Amino acid sequence: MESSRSVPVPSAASRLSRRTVIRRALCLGGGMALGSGVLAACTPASPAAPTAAPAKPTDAPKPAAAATTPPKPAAAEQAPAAKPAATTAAAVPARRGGTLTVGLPADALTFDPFSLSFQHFPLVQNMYDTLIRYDHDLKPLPGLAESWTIAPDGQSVTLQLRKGVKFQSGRELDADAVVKNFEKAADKDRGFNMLPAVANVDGVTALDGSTARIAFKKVSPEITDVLQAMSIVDPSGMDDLKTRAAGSGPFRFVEWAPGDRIVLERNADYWNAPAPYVDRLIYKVFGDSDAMVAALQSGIIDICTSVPPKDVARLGGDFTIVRGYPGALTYELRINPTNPPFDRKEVRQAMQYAIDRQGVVDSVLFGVSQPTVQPFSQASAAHDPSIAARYPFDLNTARELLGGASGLKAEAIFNSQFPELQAIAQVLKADLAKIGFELDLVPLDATQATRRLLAGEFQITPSFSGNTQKYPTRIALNSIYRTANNPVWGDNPPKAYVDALNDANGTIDPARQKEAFAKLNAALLDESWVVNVAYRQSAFGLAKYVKGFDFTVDDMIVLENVSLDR
Amino acid sequence: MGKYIVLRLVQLLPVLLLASVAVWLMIYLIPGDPAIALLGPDVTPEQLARARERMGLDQPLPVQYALWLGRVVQGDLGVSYVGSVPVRTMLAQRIPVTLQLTVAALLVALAIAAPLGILAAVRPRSWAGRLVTVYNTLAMAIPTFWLGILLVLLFGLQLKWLPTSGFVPFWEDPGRAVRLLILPALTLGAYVSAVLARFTRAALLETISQDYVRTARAKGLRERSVIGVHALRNALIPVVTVVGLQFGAFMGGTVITEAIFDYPGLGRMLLQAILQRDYTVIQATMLFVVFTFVLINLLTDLLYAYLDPRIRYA
Amino acid sequence: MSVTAAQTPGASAVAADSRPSEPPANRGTFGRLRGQRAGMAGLTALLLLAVLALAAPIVAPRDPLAQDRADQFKAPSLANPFGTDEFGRDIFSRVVYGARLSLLTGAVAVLIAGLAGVPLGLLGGFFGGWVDALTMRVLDFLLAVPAILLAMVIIAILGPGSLNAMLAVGIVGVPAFARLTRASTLALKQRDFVLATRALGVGPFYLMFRTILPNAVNPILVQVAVTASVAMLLEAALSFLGLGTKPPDPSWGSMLNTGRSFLHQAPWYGLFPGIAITGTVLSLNVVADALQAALAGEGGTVNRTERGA
Repeated sequence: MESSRSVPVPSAASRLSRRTVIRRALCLGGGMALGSGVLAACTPASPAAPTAAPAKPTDAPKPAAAATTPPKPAAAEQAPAAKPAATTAAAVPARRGGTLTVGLPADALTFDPFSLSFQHFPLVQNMYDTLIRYDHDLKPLPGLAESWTIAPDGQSVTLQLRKGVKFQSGRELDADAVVKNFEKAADKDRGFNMLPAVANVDGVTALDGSTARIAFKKVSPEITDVLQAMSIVDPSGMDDLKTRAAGSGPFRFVEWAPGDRIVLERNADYWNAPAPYVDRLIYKVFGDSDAMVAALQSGIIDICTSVPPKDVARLGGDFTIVRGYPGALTYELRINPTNPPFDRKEVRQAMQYAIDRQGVVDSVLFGVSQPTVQPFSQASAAHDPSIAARYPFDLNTARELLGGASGLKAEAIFNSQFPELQAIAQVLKADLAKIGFELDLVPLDATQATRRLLAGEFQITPSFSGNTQKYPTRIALNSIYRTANNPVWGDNPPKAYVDALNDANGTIDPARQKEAFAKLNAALLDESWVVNVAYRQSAFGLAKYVKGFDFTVDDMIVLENVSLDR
Repeated sequence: MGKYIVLRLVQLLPVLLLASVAVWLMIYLIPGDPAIALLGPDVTPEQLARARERMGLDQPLPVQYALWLGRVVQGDLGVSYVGSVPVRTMLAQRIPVTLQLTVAALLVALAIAAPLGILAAVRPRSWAGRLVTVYNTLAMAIPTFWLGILLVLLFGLQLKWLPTSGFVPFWEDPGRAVRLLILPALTLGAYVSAVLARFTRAALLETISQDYVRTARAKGLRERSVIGVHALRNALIPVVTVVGLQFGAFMGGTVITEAIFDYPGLGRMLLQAILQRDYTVIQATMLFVVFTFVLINLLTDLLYAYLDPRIRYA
Repeated sequence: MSVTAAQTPGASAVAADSRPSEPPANRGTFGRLRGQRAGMAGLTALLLLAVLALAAPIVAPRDPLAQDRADQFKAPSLANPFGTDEFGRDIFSRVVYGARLSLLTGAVAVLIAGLAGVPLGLLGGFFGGWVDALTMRVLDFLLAVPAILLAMVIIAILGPGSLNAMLAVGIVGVPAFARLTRASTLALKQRDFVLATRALGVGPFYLMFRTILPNAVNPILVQVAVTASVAMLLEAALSFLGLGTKPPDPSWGSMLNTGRSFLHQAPWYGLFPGIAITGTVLSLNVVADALQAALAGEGGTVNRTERGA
């Protein structure tokens, strides 16, 4: 589905306070005092401070904000490793050497970091570097770009590239490589997931060997999102990405045995020394997550990159369970508002009342999640806790909204590759049956489900959206939220929604952004063509001796600081 | 004999040609677009059109078939739409993996079937003989997928004796390979073991009644050597040829078995390919399965003809 | 079960005149089956299952679709004899309702396979020639593809769902019926009673359907039991692979499939549907064997096709 997404992240300073609160929740697990000293301990040790801060300095966290955003216990309890690994590495000198074996949920099939499917999330960050990074609070940190300066008009950014960084081929990173990568991203055939992400980029020029300037077509509040999403590929290796990687990342590509494994080795010249710590990194390909869990239990792999929710509690004792970024994806029901009976807004809103969000969290996601009525994750600037109770589970209200009409029927398609989507559909079906609404479930294989989702050939379908933690307007990268070429609305989504998106996109002023986000949420809740159900929180299973594991805000896995403490 | 072989080979050609058309055609009856499978959900119409052009999907069907057959005859099975890997490479990689499983399953089946079949033939009325009948009846009825689950539940999760998934090439680590193979091989081999046990019993009963066995008995040889040396050797020849005919059951069984044990063989590749609409992989795998089946049938026939000259002239 | 008893009088009447070669004597299949103890047990089990399926609304304590999400994964107890599943549904009720689908699949598949396969075999065997050759090559090809793979490809074309699964499983059964009938036809059409009937000047279709077919019925009858057994297994296998019955309708195969992913949470989940499938297939196999034993020596041998899964 939409797991194969580009991965930008937000930038506006106005959100940082809330994110800080959440980060503290992750760090402290709830009840502890929120002193700034503790806060500092939780802040990742940045390799180097950015010489030019992209965003305005963060405001000190406001207690009021903390009160309005109670930390979610579920996320807090089990997220010890959510603090960036650099901290851990600094505290205890990490052991060097050894072979780390990691489970991959499907074969890679391509090593192009611009072409992202769910199986690439454990891979990409360990072979490639991005221009900048985000810490868990979405605070930008240097990557291949040592520093960056955003022009006051918000329409361009100048990057100062790190010197002496070498790609695997021996070629040195320079501004020309950055230009070539943006050209690739904007290319219809080679851009893949990055193509929509760089839609606003007007052009990239190399000012000198290590300085590049990126110009945007209009005011762009999401500039750092683009930089964070942008992996840099060795231009000389761009034609061979189907069979081998060509990056500058912490591990170098050695071999790929299709269907079986991918072998990487330590990049001794990595710019972020002393990382990486392990000598060899092997990815083993698995056909399903149950098999991957079994492999973790029998010691075949050291890290299971996808622990199904049902197994989280069971594995907790013997393994380190790390919860992924809360709300990297959001489960939802996509509704086609042009198709009866959902052409009536009331019927769509009835679905908001008829879906038992807590029931889905409990019996489908085994408590490894939280219910939500909005797509935006708690870290997002557009996340609004005050609307959480807007649509409670209430079959009577749903029945009233259906207008007493009996014999209502609809077909729910879903991608049978994801068992949880089928389970969500079953929960909805059972409850709708109680109010005289008959839902027919139609499982489809991935290709057909995707085709019909894109063509708008559905009435209602459980699915999920990504980019919900980024700059809020980035949700429009999901087809169902598009403002043009939308599978269900075509080029005419509800005006209030489009206006809100345009407002949010057109300003870098935090106050005006906030106003736009409120309008955005109101429009989404009112039109209800996407009924949000619950956040998806991934879980990683680690053997106890694995230290320094980390992940990005997109749930991409970061292994450069991992050491084996056997 | 030479003439017979040539005749059989000539008879093969239309089947193989028909098979190639059928395999090729049925893939095109499948709804769904490999271009979408390749590019993901948020592809634009222009991207889609370009990809279809690149993949040759915009050509008329007969042209696509002719081009395809021409390449297949030259040994070029195409490139996976999804993974951009040559299908020949994928097959070359998966075939030994599945072969390892099928050989193990066959050994398991023979190891079970031979003693059971002999017991059933020699002592049909004893309680052991009756137990054999019960085993056969059960093994022929129990679905592969349920047997696999039961074995995982018992030996994997309860007793924790054996791993429940994974694969290691036999020559890399024989000990581990055997441990990994036991459960899948039992799962895959159970049904065939029952078929073979039945057949062994029937073949043995037939040879026991033959003159030379009676002669051997009359000579006062001990029963064990009568059965072991005279009857069994002659009964085993048709039994071994029956093994060839069980190839279809094995191929079908591998899809299920490999799914249960996450075994990276041909069956799992095919299931994955069907789910992903990876046309070239489906075509090549089906073609491989049909060709192998036809060839094994041919070999079985030839073996029979060699053993029993009457067939050649029939 | 008394198809042979309903044999057309025409054949017997004509045959009676055409001594010395008689059509096979017909003592009643059921009568001979009664001699087979195991076969009778199997038949009884199948009848019981059919009653259970028909009376599902009475037998099942609860609605098989009704969720009680607070009751997730309850172990077997008096209230839920087979336990509950991930939505708190009663597994016993689902197994009982699943019998309907399984039996229906068997019946529909046999109908499809028989109605297509028997005429194909009759025509091919009777007329011979290039039509026969072509049909047989196509069937050879179909037989060269393992049953489950063939069914998977058909499902890929038709799309998943229980009706399509029945259709796919039925198509998979066609070649066995056709080859079996063809072999019987080839043997029977040389027999004196057929030649005698033909000499009376009756048309080819009368010969095929009223003279030859009734005498080829016994092996076909065995094949019915075999096909039904293979069909139920295949349907379960398809559902197990997620290509058969749509959720939340109860199918034994899909219950096994879901149960497999909850082996740790609810080991009993897949146990009962598994027993149900095995028991049903076993009963059918036993009946098929008993039938074959009872009818031994008549017509062609049964085409025991490779089992699907």
